[in-house]
Amino acid sequence: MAQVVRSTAAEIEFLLSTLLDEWQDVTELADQWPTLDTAEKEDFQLEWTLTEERFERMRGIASLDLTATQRARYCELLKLVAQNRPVLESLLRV
Amino acid sequence: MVGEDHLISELLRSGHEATPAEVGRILSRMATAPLDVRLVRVPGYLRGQPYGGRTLQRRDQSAFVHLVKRVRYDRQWAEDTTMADYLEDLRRAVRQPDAHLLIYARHGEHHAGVIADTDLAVPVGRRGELALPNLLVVNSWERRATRTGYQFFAMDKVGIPGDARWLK
Repeated sequence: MAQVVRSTAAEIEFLLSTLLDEWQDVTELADQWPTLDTAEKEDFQLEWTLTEERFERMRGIASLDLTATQRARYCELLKLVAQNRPVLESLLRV
Repeated sequence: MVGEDHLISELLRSGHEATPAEVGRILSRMATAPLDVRLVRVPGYLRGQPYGGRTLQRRDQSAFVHLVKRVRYDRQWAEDTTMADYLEDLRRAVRQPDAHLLIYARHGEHHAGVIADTDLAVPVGRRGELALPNLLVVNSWERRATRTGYQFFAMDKVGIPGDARWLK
């Protein structure tokens, strides 16, 4: 099995950093969406699945113990996701 | 016989069951396709990332963007994986006898996708620390190029349209 299962501080840091990066990028992506080539749109729609998989993993971890700093960043992530989810859904539907 | 370039559109349009020969033609074309090198948008979090002696620009070659994302960001492939290595692994996935094959249309273009076991496609030494069990390879039929290849965990999350046709 290729999956490496771990929920260390390093993994939590990886998940929080990548998820914050990706969800922050949604705003700029939405602005540029009308000018993008069909292949670029296809790429995004195919690959966003990785972000959702990471988000699910993070939610699972967050139901357990997080440090105060990790909890604060996770709350920031949840806020960002709630804010950008509607525009993201519109991009995935196009 | 339907021409090579219209094979997928005709299969989707007619709904007829793909013959073994048609499946073979699709897989054969996928197994020899190059990576797409057209310029694409680079996500903000990847811009400026150096890799293999190059640095990702605001827009960059699709193949290079995917390679850097897979290695540096998703950590699915090991550090120092080259473009040739990445392409070789994707082609190995396409050649797996037990791989699944699907076709679909989106944005007015036609695509063929293969889902294979990562373990059988990517050599152990080339797997990243966050390698995942399944590998998806997507070919843009009209562009005659491999658009992307990435590893994923759950089949129900993979980003292919719900009306994709599974041929194998």
